[in-house]
Amino acid sequence: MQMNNDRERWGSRLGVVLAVAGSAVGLGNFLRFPAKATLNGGGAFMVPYFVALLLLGIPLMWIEWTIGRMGGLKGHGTAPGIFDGLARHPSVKYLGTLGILGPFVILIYYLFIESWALAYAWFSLSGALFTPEALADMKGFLGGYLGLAHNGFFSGIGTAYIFFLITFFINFYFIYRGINKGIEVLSKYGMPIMIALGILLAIRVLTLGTPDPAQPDLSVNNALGFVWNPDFSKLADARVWMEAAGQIFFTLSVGIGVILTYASYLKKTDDVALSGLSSTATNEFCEVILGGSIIIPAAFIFLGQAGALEVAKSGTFNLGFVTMPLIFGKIPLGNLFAALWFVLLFIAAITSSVSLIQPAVAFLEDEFKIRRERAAVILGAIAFAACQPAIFFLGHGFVDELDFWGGTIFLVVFATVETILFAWVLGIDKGLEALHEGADIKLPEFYKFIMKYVTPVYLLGLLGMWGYQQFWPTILMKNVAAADRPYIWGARGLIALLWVTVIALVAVAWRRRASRSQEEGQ
Amino acid sequence: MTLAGMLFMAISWGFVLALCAYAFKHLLKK
Repeated sequence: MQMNNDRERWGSRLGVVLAVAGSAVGLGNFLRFPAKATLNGGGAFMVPYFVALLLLGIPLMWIEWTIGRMGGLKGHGTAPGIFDGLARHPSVKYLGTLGILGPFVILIYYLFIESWALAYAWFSLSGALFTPEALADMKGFLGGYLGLAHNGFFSGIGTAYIFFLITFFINFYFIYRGINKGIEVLSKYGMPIMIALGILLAIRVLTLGTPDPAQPDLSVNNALGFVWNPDFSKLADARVWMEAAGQIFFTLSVGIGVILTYASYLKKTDDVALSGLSSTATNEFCEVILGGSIIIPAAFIFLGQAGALEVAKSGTFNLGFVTMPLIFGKIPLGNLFAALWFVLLFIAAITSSVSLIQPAVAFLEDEFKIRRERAAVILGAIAFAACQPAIFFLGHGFVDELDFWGGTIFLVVFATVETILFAWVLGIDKGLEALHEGADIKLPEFYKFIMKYVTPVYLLGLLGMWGYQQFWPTILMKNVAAADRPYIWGARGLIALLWVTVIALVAVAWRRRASRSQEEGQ
Repeated sequence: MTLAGMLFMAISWGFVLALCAYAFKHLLKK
């Protein structure tokens, strides 16, 4: 095995666990999970949720940690090289391009959304966020901030753009600093702070009691009942099982390619079994315990059952950036708690966004021997240009289109490919042997069966279901206004351009390597 | 909150906390 000792390494085991957990914990833990649980059977939702965690999430996490470390030992930190090492067919490396393209496509829109959290933390402290008092006004505030509506709150998109620039430079600062001094430092400080803020906010919500004595039903006890009382009839609905599997899939950041890259900086003797489990446990703590105790219970207490149901149905952004500010406006010291909430969302987002950049940086470093600092500058320039249409065409469905490809389809396809490569091409016995190298825990024997049969079938089921539900309506732009169609084509063109570029770079890198080996052989 | 709700919340929290305790107990011991 060709060893490559020039690559960067994690400084500590806790550092890599927190970095992977940081990549996994994002807006979805605090906004998507509680809404999904509430709408899909409450406590009963946790049955398919934990089944998916055990049969889909944890196996995928282990697979990615294992093949990532294997690739890193051969000098490859991204999927083209890692897949190429698992299957000696020349086309397999091109399937791996999704592990660089996917995170980059998500990054294009994620950075802008992340900057909203930073801006709203500032607006909370300055008091500007509490000028609007009604739901429509708060929507107007967000629309004005994003330049989508013209009202008295903002004169244009200028403020949003300044916060985007700040967010962009913070992200690339940590990438420029590298794995050990950048991403690991960010995760080691950011994650404990984020968890502490989450605990503080959960305690604040769970100690609200019955704020309005005239409405004794709007209590913490009933709010928790609203989230957790089980509706067993939902378990007979196949859609609920798919929702739970989808939530597990998205929350753990599997299928993107970032865990492969993070794990590639491990040494041969480093454990992956316990580390993968620890990062999963951290994510689940942030999701089930913290995520389930803040936004929906707070919405129930201040808006009542009908209001909270409306909130749960209103989607991630409305939950985080419209409803929550209104709720904080009704709590004593609301501006402070609102600031903490948005700082929490910002940290959750930045520990995810830096992980989205790293695969592309690692690709240039590993396959083209470009120095990390230079790779960060090159990719910074490309990402900056690519972010512009996501900012200025936000209202035209541009971001939704990027999210459909980068944040949904590519993920499931990528996860299915890597699972088949691990369990069937490399072989489950060899795969588990690699997983157990340096491991601090031994996997239960039945996971051999799960990883070989159950996880691939689960993934193919997800792929089939989402393909059936979303693929053709999205491809054919069924719910898109005619005026927005050019923007959708623009988003597709951008993805295609990036994909062709990554494929071409992979081809060049492999051709160069082949001619180098030929020269060395002569 | 019904008894079933309390039970599901307790089991879910308990499962996640047990997973965290198991993982970090071993992780920090190394």
